[in-house]
Amino acid sequence: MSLIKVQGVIIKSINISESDKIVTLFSDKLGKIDAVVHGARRSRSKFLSSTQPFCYCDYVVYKGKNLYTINQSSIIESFQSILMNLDKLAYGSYFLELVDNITEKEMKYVSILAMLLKTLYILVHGDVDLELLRLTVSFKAISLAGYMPRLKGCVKCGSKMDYGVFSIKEGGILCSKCSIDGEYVYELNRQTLHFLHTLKNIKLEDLRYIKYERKMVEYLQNILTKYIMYYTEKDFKSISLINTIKEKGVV
Amino acid sequence: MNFYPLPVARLIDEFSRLPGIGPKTAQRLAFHVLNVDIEQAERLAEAIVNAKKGIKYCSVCGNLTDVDPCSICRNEARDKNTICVVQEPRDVIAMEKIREFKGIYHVLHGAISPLGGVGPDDIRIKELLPRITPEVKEVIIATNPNVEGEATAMYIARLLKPLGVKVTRIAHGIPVGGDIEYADEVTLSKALEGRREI
Repeated sequence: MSLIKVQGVIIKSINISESDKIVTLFSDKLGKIDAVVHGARRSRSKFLSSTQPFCYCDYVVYKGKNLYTINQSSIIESFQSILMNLDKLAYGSYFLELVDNITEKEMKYVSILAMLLKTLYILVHGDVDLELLRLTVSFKAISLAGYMPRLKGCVKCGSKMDYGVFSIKEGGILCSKCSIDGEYVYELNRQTLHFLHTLKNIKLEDLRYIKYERKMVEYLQNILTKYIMYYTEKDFKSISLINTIKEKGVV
Repeated sequence: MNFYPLPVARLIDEFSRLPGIGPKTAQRLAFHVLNVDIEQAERLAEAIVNAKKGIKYCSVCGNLTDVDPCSICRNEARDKNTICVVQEPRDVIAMEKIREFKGIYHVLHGAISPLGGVGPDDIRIKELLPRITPEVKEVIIATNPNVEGEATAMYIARLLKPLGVKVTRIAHGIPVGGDIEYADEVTLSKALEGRREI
């Protein structure tokens, strides 16, 4: 049994038996792993808060037959203030789910981990529109995970263009000659496409300085969510809470 | 290959479906039932069937009860102006054990789980709103101090704020008898946040 020291963020937690849980740890050295935490739900457990979602910790783990087991933990940043704000909690949960959906088990994604941490820090300390942050992080994350849509030139014929239709199935934009009708096709005008390029290159900490239309952000987010769901074949459970609190005006 | 006669195998199988009961424990329980006299076995079976048939949810608070409304909601001595919101019926029992809370309860039967896909409409939040009459002075949110519990608490707090009722959250911190030295940073900072003058 060899002990491995990793740093990572808990992105999911499932209760098992009376006092144990299985957490999904998104770590630097081992990538995304499932780990058992024995006794983590007991009120005096040393793992009680270090195995909550959002928690960024140093962990010592060892590999069992099927799963890893967390042996020690030390909190680096708990991001607990996210839990004190319903909007931040809903969007924060989306970011955790996004990372879970676009990554494969036991593959290293150091850049995505760095981006997730930066996003959580901005969520705690920053003053940025959460919808804009969600769109930007989603866009950057799929690029880092290898799902980047082609936005320069037509996917089919390769002709250069600065507007057209975005086809989810084709994985990028299509020119007027190649464009097709269908449920996975959305119009992208010059301004929207330019905005997407801006988001691709912008640093997350500079987001609060850019000018944008909220409608455009929501339009793009809708397309991007469908795009991610189409390619990962996974649903986003956290979106329903974001939509509920938006619709009911609780946020 | 089945080593047991069919009724025994079925009994073991049924016991092993219970939470926290593995095959070995199920086997032990089944053999215990076989060893007791028939009256005791009948009493056990009857108690299970009666509990299952006779217990329902209180139409007011959602707690488990045999009579609707439950004994707490019917009790005139309870303070009807203070409502304690809890996740599960077993949380009501935990609160009642302290014998200090004299108000009434509202059981949500779950918690909002952003990552589990449980939304506000999936738990008994909408049943709470009609209970917030002008006489209600305080709503205490006693959900678990985890992501789901906090999400639920935040949602309810925002929902009730326009109604002008005082919404409070139970304190978090060091457990009684615990050591500060071994408390983690999050718990300790919560305890510091919720300190009070003595």
